[in-house]
Amino acid sequence: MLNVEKLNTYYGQSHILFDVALTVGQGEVVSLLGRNGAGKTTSLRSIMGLTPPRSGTVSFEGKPLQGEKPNNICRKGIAFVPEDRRIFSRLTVHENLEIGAIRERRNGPWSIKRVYELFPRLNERRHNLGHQLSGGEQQMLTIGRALMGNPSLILLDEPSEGLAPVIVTTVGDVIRTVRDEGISILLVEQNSSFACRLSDRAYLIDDGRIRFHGTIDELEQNSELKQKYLAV
Amino acid sequence: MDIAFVAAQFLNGLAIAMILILIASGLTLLLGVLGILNFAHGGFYMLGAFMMFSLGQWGLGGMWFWVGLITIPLALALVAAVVEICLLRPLYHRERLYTLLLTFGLAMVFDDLALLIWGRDFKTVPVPELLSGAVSIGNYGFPLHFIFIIVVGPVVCALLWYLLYRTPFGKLIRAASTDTEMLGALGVNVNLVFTGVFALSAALAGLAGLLVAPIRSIVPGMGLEIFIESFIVVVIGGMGSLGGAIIGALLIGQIKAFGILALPNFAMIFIYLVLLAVLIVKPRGLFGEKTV
Ligand SMILES: Nc1ncnc2c1ncn2[C@@H]1O[C@H](COP(=O)(O)OP(=O)(O)O)[C@@H](O)[C@H]1O
Ligand SMILES: [Mg+2]
Repeated sequence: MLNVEKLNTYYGQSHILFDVALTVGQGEVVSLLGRNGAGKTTSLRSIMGLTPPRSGTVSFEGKPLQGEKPNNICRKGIAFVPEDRRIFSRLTVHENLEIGAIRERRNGPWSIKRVYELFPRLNERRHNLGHQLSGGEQQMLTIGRALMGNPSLILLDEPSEGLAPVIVTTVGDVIRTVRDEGISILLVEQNSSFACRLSDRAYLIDDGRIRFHGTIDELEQNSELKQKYLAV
Repeated sequence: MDIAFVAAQFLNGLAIAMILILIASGLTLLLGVLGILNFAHGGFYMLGAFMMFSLGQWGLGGMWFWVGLITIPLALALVAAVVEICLLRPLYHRERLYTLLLTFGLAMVFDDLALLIWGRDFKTVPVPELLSGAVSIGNYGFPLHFIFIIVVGPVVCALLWYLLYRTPFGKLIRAASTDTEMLGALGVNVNLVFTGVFALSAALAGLAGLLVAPIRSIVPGMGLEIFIESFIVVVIGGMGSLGGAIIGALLIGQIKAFGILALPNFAMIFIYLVLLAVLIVKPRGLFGEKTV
């Protein structure tokens, strides 16, 4: 459903992504793994239209996305969950979720009620402001906010980063729940053991180039590859 | 100085504060949401006053003031929306300096436009009939029109509060004040939010202008004067903070009202002293973080 080909992205003069190509199929969880600074976030930002690529193509459900603004890309059904969470700090938890659905013209199973069922903790904190939340609560909220738009693909940037192990387990469970609804996920991680448990396939990225692409089993068996491109 | 005089002077300060609130709230919203300092903001205040002058000339069967009270803010909101879409929007992705230069140029264009349409002479507008009386405070007569301004201020503040905290558009404004990029990634057309905020700020400034039209002389250049005062209010309150702008305006209103008694021609000195004092103690203003 997502098809990325020969993506080249720059920040100003510096060339960051080199011919990045990847695909995510319907209902698939695909990992994009790599060290800090490898170009993972930039890949997601390019797909989302936040840092438009200078060349290459991105297509989603058969339609080209390049040149579209992020708000239109979102409305086509792609949700972006940023690694720094980016909760609206002056809005309550409840309002943050409402913003996720404010331009929602897509029908789907997700509602505030369901997000609260998925994350009971958010329901308890519904009247708290964004900046009063813990890191784990912020991560739940940013995922919940993305779900409110009823996306068919979620770009998830390092959801396990900086979280206590028990919260990481919760986030893993949520990713499975979401996948079981048929939502595709492109999961960016440095934490490869976490990502591999959840994914069908994986890409390795380093220095802005895709270095490996294959199934999780293929990756697990190739310890040389993991040694070279992942901090293990 | 008897108590009635002090009371009247206090009310005077309150009326000044209400006008400053109307202008400074728009200025601070623009800073908080669009991240721009709009030098042309006072231009909408000036245009509001001049438009009220023209309506006064036409008379409209005695209803000119009340017609203007509704139509002038709407007309200026429309003008502002066009300005934002055609002139400002193309510059958002450039360096901030370009936007500053543009609004600075716009301020001059507004002044010249007023010169062209209304001429160089001072204009005056009569106080509308319904508000032409005075209420007595001890031995002093306090003009009814000032009372009207003191009432309109809190009403507008309440409406603004309702808009910001109880409507979907307000939610978008508050969200945009912390992270416009993320708001866009959630499917919101941020450009429309910007246009709305710009139009809203112009309507508020125009409202202030039409309210003061009957109680001051109307000249090109009055926009720059109020811009400086309301910018001081915004800096004292903390850029982007609406509550700060309100507190700052109340403070400056009283300082102006009573400062004029101490040094009739140099009341601005007290304002600059307070500004200095606040900036020394709290460099980011009284409520100085990015809040709406
Ligand atoms: N806003 C930016 N401006 C310039 N360079 C950037 C910017 N953001 C990231 N980079 C650079 O781009 C490269 C890839 O960064 P990023 O995509 O954030 O990596 P990752 O998410 O894999 O840690 C890094 O070398 C980083 O220094
Ligand atoms: Mg990253």
